[in-house]
Amino acid sequence: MNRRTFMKDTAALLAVVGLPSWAMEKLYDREQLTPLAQQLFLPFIGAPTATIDSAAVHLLNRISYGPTPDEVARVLQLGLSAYIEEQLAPTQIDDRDLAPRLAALTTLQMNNAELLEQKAQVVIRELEQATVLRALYSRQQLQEVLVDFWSNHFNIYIGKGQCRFLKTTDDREAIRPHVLGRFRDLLGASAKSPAMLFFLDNHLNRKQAPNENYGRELMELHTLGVEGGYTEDDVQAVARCFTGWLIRQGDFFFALRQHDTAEKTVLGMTMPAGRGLEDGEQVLDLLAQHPATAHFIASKLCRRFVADAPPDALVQQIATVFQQTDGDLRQVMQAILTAPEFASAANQKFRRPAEFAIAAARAVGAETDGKQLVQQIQQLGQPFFGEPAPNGYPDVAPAWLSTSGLLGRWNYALSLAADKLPNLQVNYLPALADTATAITVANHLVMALLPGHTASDVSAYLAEFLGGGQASIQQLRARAPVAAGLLLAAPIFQWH
Amino acid sequence: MRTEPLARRTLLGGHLWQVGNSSQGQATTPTTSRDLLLCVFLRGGADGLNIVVPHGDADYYRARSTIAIPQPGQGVGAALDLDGYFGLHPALASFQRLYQAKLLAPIHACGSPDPTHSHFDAMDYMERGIPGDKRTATGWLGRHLQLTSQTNDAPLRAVGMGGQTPLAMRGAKATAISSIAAFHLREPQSDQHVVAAALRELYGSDNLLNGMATQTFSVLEQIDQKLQPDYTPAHGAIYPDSPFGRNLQQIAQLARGDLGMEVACADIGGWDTHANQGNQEGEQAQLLADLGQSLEAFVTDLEDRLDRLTIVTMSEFGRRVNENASGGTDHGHGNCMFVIGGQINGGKMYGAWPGLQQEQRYGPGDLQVTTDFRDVLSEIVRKRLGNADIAQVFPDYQPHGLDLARTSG
Repeated sequence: MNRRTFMKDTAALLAVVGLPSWAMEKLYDREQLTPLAQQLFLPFIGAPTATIDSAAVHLLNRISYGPTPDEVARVLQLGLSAYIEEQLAPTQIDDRDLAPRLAALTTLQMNNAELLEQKAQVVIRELEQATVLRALYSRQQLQEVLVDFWSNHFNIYIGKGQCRFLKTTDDREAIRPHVLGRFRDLLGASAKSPAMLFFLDNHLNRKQAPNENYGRELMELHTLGVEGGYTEDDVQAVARCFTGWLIRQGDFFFALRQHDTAEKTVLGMTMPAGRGLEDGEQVLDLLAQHPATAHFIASKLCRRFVADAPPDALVQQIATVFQQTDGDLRQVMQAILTAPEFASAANQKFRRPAEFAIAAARAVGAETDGKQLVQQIQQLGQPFFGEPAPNGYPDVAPAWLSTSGLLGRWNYALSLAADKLPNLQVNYLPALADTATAITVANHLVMALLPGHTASDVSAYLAEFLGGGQASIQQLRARAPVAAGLLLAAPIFQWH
Repeated sequence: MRTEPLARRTLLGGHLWQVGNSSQGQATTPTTSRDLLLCVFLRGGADGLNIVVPHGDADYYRARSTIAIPQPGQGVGAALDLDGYFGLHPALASFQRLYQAKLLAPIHACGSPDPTHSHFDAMDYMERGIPGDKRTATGWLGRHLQLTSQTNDAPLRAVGMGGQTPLAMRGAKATAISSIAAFHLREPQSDQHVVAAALRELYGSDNLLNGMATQTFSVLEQIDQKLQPDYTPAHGAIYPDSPFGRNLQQIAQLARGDLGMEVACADIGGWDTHANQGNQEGEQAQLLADLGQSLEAFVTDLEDRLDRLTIVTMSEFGRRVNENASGGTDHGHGNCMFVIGGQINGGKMYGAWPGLQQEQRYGPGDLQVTTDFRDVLSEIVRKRLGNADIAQVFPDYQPHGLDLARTSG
């Protein structure tokens, strides 16, 4: 049985059982229902019911770093499409609470020359901290998710040479301003980003014997895709077009004397001799408008936002939107998020380590300066800007499903919920009154950690774990953080 | 059984190299009749022409005016001669010792016949063991392990060092370990049982995650119950303090634990030397020093099991014959591989040399492939892993025998 049929079956079962969560409190009787809970409720974990709440949760799962009670309420108040519109216009979203958290990270605002004067560890640490703080606390969540997507698409390994200093301006000036703008602008900003010029060695690309690194990855990874129809001759010609695109004092600099001014042919298009910067610009135009690019970008965005293997028809439709709008990424995202294929794809994506760690931290209401989470995410195997290969981190479940991966998630979830991580405070569990019972504590945990989730099955399981009807208040107090950790460690929290 | 214990003893740092039947009576005899196979993947496309240097080929020096490795005898940093025509990069002194002890077989002009110059496609094809095929979900090791799984179901039978399961192992139960020391459930002893039981129960209902969760619990038990937490390498082996060195030490620790490990994978990255590759010194030299010292430590550490150990190194492709203007080399085609082990016919070069003249090059100016990487791997699978069903491991491929490994008696 694959996951799809599993979800169908469980949805059908739930419809038959049809118990709202309040009913569970009356029905719940540990002695009599334990076997039933074993047989009926356990299989439901991981399969939410189809309600308005669950549509809101699904949307937030994909366009944010994890639902919070505030954002679920906001979606329910505005409705799905108005909420999507709001997130697609991030500059209109009041995000004033974020600024104070970033205020101490002074390197974020520096230019390249200033950055090169700093200590590399400080520059890297502040960018990593800022990334995790924005993911945790920004209300412009779709913007942050897209920054992550495009930072991976135009991946730069922060451990390589000057990238240690220059990734900060790449993040601020090449990626962030364009993730909901035009693809050509994003591509152009990346092509002239000193960090990218350094990472893919184009800063050394001179006419005598061109360096192919950037030219190849530009076509294979940034635009056409490996099956996009270019040849080895195109790789060499594109490399020649970008000769002389160098770095001087930390900034992009076009050195005409290092530029190969002879005639070139790229993808069948002749570039006349005697030109300068226009060669590279024309290549970027050509690539941004190429149908293979539309298809490649559409398939990657659908893989991220819909499913590991998105339906071909959807990819084709999104590629068409990309081409018809001249690569307007805002319209592309709107088309994806309002597609029926998006709505029906709930819980099919396996959270990658960083997504999991941040979603769990949001769920427990973590208060932190971010350093601890940066470290945890590194230990989980997905450090920010830490992939040395230019293709960035993979975006499909099999790449992330491993023994050390699961164990790392369990340990993180249990430590986080038990408030054992240094320099991070959780805020999801009120002091339990003496009248608390297993089912009220369980319901509270589900509401706090899985906001919007109508998960009577999960509550029942957790209530049993907490000791059921017989649990003493001491037992409940001791077990509640462990139960919360289990909820974050459970499969239900790994899929989104 | 090998016949040069003295040569090994002197050449490999003066250690006593217990070989052949001398290890069979010991309590540490591995539980499987197959070799432990260590697969080392050099990620990024290693420049084989500066690793196994064709110092007898004048075209090599013509193509590489700044990064060529000087001929043997040309002072410090010259190539370490192997057979009068090929030599090793000077950072690979340990490989020269292994070669002279007849434990190491270099194969040159070797690789995948697929023309791709994409790292990611080339790596995928090599790990799947099926050039040009992106649809097959399993890897070559995964298929081998699956075919032979009835003889060993140890949870640690296949281990990849790192956070992700190696693609080569997909299709079989495989374990990814980032760190043995960290492979524990970090709960207070009092809670561990109840937490583990709850996790088992929760994961039992998820069809896609259940298998991996079960595997994780099995490995946790093995490591908790059967593996000594502290490990001191044997025979005075000293691993470099590098990620690769630490990973090899952990693989040796698992091997010594006799947990039924048959295959281990370890990566060493950083070989995509488009710029500032260096020659005798520099980026590639540092990587090679790490590679050579780590593997020598591993062989030394496990020298009493050498007749049950095979190591193979590979990389997705080689690099362009001509250097570029930034002191580096762009993506190429043919490359070198190394096979190391007690039952390897080492001490001689393998593979036909295609030459480096313009008309002898492949595609945009690359070394040709004259030996398919599957020829090397097939021989290991057949002779050292005791699996004759090569057609299943490397579908639609008819391997050519190289006679670089011996069959266990």
